[in-house]
Amino acid sequence: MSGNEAAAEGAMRAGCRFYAGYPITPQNEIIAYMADHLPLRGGVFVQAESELAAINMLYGASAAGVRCMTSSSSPGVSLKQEGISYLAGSELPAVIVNISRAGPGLGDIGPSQGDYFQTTRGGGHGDYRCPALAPSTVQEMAEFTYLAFELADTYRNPVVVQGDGMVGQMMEPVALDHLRPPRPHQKPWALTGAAGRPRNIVRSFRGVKGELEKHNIKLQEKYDEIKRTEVRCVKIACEEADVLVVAYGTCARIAREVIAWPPRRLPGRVGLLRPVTLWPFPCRQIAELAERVRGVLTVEMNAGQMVEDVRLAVEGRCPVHLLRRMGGAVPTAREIADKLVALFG
Amino acid sequence: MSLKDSTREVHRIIIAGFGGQGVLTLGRLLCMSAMSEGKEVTYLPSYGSEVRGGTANCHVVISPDQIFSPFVEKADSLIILNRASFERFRDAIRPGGLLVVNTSLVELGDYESTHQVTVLPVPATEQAAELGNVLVGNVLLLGAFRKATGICCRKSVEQAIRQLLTGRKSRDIEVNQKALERGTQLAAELLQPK
Amino acid sequence: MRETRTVRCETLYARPQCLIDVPTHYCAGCGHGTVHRVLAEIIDELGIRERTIGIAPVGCAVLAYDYIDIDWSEAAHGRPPAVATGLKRVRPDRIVFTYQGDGDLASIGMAETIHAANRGENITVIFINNAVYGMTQGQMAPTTLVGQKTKTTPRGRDPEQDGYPIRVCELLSGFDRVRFLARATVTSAARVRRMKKLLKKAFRYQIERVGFSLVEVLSPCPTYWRMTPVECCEFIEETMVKSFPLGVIKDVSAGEDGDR
Ligand SMILES: Cc1ncc(C[n+]2csc(CCOP(=O)(O)OP(=O)(O)O)c2C)c(N)n1
Ligand code: SF4
Repeated sequence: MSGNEAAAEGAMRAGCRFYAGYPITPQNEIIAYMADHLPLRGGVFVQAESELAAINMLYGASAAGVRCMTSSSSPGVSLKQEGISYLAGSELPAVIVNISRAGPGLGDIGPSQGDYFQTTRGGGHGDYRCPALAPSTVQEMAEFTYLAFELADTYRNPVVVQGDGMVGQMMEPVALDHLRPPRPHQKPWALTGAAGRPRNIVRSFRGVKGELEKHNIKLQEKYDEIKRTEVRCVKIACEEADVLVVAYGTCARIAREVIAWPPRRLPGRVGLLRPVTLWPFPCRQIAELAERVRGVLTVEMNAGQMVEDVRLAVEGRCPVHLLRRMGGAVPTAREIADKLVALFG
Repeated sequence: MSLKDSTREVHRIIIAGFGGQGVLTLGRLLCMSAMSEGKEVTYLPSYGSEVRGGTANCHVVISPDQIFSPFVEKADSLIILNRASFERFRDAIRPGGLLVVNTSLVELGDYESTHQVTVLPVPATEQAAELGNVLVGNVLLLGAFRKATGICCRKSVEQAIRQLLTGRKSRDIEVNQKALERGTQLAAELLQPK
Repeated sequence: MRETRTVRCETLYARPQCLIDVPTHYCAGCGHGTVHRVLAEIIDELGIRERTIGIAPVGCAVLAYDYIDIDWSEAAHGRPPAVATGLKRVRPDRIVFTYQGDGDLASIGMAETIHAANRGENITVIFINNAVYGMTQGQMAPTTLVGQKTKTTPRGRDPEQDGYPIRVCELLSGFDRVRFLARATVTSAARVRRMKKLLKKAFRYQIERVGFSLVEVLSPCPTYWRMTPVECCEFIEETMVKSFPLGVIKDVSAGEDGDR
């Protein structure tokens, strides 16, 4: 099964009952899989007239208390940003899968990590954040999408699954049996009709002076809690490492290949830290390793976006370098090894 | 020169041809066959604008252990279906690798003298036409590739064909099985020590 | 040795000057190529090559600028009428047209389409209706026919879920400042000539500052209709025209309605 199909399947197993999307390559397999399966499994599928409409359909479905998802690729996600800001402001759970492609503008459909800023900084207007999970295998496409629904309901916040064209398009064997129907979350805030209870209002507007600041403080407290409890990363061969590579998604897979190479082809022992949550970012984990290693190499398929977070985490404890490819190009294992040798050999 | 023992080592394959030749199907059949034997597989297709009118290719990695990068830089085996792909990928193979090539559409020129690889020349398009369906050239090549490498059992491929061709396509099962057999035979003849 | 004779040849039919001599990326039997050619002929015949500006869509025709030798701009998916508005308002003496698919024009860009039409922008819209999304591999379009199977309507378009196909010309005909609306197709030489006539009229109206014009072309997509080019033409003639009747839907020429 392809990564895109796995994401759709993971969503349905997490109890997703509403999907709205608009076609865009390289995530068309998600929308096709949803169109095919969701109606047969008791859910609702809508091909929206645009990404703008799709994200606002989610606003409605989520306000009604139903687990819901949309998916798109970079230009489409740009269009969704206003809606995502509204979801965050109104504290509505929703899952957004972004199988990103190369920009800016129409760019091309090659795999890219150029949406790192858009995804981790909030993306739209105002002060908000969305937890973002970065799968690097087809298995994780299913598992992280499933997990995204749990996080979304737990924190009443939109959650992004941040993949790229490579993990979306590739096929691998997938195990799904462990993705059991989840325990339903109570949603006393949902709009169901005010029968036998005070009415509910879903909104982000706070017109009374001072109220909006209070609302923002509450949101920030929630984000602080997410930062404390939801950081996820995978460390490989980090304990003994002289040099650390930081990479996520597709780049992490390629870097992982390099770590497995015989040491004579590398400058000493190389470890890999792979952020699984891009936000919240594994700052503490990177800082700890930065105390011990000679340097860090960040590998990204963009002009250098995550490297800014790595530098903030390292805070000058050791040098931080960047290996980047742009415009849909993917770094090769050899390039990574050569760069490591050139920097630390 | 020896081919890899694919039961114990990782095997990286690039399959390429033009869109419509069944390149991606070939890759999927190979993956499904190896997967049914408990191997780890990754399948990475070229996608999108590259596909319309142009060449299609996929990277397949088959391994007894966990696979990290699904990209193939230097292939252990190349399966090439047309000339444009031959030009593009002719050097993307390691010394000692295997080239299975559709000689109905590809002229090898001096390739064999300049490259240290085992070449399995299969006139796949012609042979498929003889079987009555030029579209099964891909499965013919798969048959030859499987025979040459022993990467999976023939039974697994037969089963994969049945799994993939469902509904209206199921009437093509028989001709595909024939193509598989023809490919196997051709490889057996070609591989016999002269 | 053969006898050689001089024969006087007259060119009756040649590649239009502004049609660039390169193979297109379109699939065999696709309607986009035919419309490009006709468009190029019209630009030549009206002698407007040097003052015409095209807006390419996001869709299979995204590369239209590679084929017709005039100034072009890209626009975000669905936004060509907005881009055209900007261009035309600051350069009212230039001939500005958009070239859009059904997804681009009638789905994501419907708001732009309606508002450019309602404002009566003096532009020409070329609307390629192939009842599917070509570029993204065959999903439902707003013009997909009832019952038609696509990637996102695997059981056929169901009006209960997705509504009925949108008839753009009929929809726009109610806007007072819309001057010319016509629907044509490319299924035969006669049909192509007719399409050319209508499209040329639309451009003439723009030159004469009559106002907003749109020509819809029912166009085959053999790849995602999963038909041969000939079957596509039969499908258009026998089935598609029932939902999308051919002809002039609105024609209010200059002066007639007195609001100019
Ligand atoms: C914001 C945004 N959403 C989606 C896409 C993907 N996309 C590209 S073309 C297209 C639709 C193509 O269909 P149509 O306009 O009917 O033109 P055709 O390809 O059929 O000629 C879509 C959805 C995009 N490029 N940008
Ligand atoms: S996919 Fe359809 S619309 Fe696009 S080029 Fe091919 S035939 Fe034409």
